[in-house]
Amino acid sequence: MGLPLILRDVFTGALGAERASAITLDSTMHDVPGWDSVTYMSVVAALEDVTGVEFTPIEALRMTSVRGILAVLSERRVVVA
Amino acid sequence: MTARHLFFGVSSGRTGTMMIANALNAEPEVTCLHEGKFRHLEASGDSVLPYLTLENRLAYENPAVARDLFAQQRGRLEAWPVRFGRPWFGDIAYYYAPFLGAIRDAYPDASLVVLFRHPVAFMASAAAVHGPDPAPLGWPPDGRELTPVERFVGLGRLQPRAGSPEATAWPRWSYLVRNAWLWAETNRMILDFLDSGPTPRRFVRRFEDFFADPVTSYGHLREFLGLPGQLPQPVARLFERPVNRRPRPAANVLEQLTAEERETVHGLLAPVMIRLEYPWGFP
Repeated sequence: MGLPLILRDVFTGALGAERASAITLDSTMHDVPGWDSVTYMSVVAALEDVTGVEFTPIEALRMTSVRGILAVLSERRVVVA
Repeated sequence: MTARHLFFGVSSGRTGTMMIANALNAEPEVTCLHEGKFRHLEASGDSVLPYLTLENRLAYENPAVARDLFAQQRGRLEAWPVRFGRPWFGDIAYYYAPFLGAIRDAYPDASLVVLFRHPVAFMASAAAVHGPDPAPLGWPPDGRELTPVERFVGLGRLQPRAGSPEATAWPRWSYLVRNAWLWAETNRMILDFLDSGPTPRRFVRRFEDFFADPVTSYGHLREFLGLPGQLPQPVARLFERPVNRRPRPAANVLEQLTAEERETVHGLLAPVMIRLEYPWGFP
């Protein structure tokens, strides 16, 4: 299973196409160059814009990896493809 | 290298840890990080370990996940001294308080460096910054616009657990009261850990005592860590130039509190101040 399109688009917007292309389901903000604190905030904000969901602080805290983001989106019943 | 050469530093923040990390890292036998990265005086160098900025609050909210979070981000630290060719390896950061049990479990032979500081100085420190804060730690002044980095750090900053009386009062609290709570809760966690057993080897000092004679105090820290030889003069000279020093606020922060806030702050701080034998008032 590849990266869902919604995440690919968000990461492309935050990191640029080249860096975003290296992101996989196992990526975390600790091992992706450029996924720093500023990018993290941009990703969370962009996901709120795209999904219409306002994440709680605790949910946002868990969104430091692709799997963490997908888990939160799943809990919020956001369908990703 | 053995785990005995590993050390962790913890405090509430604003306790001189950046300067101590600079000094330790200037030792030929030591790699000492500050919040997971190298420091060159105030400047940030290469990041080595993942920061635990957000995990800090996750571990506080749910202590059951602290060990897993710590294992994910701080596992196999024994590899790093080999990589740097220096036998001692440590990291000093404000965010270790919720992880102290996890540190003990993962590295029972590691050493712990603990610094405390008078709470009013901690509260004053956050009040002293009026523009963007390059080293955000406490709650910022009410209404100040925050940079993305400040918002990021703030997301991971501890605040009362949902359902607690403090959480109910939190929206009404000014940033000074919030910082009083942050200081008290962080240091309560540290003290509770130190009072529980068994605890790692520890070097515990109050900021005021350490920096009354920093070179001598640092010498004691070297002895505690077991560093060989005499204190190198270039390292001693680092203590001649303060780093990350905050301007002293124009007014005593206690005088900015309303009578009700003063009572709340006293109630939050007093139990921990008594344990640390700190006097009430502006130091």
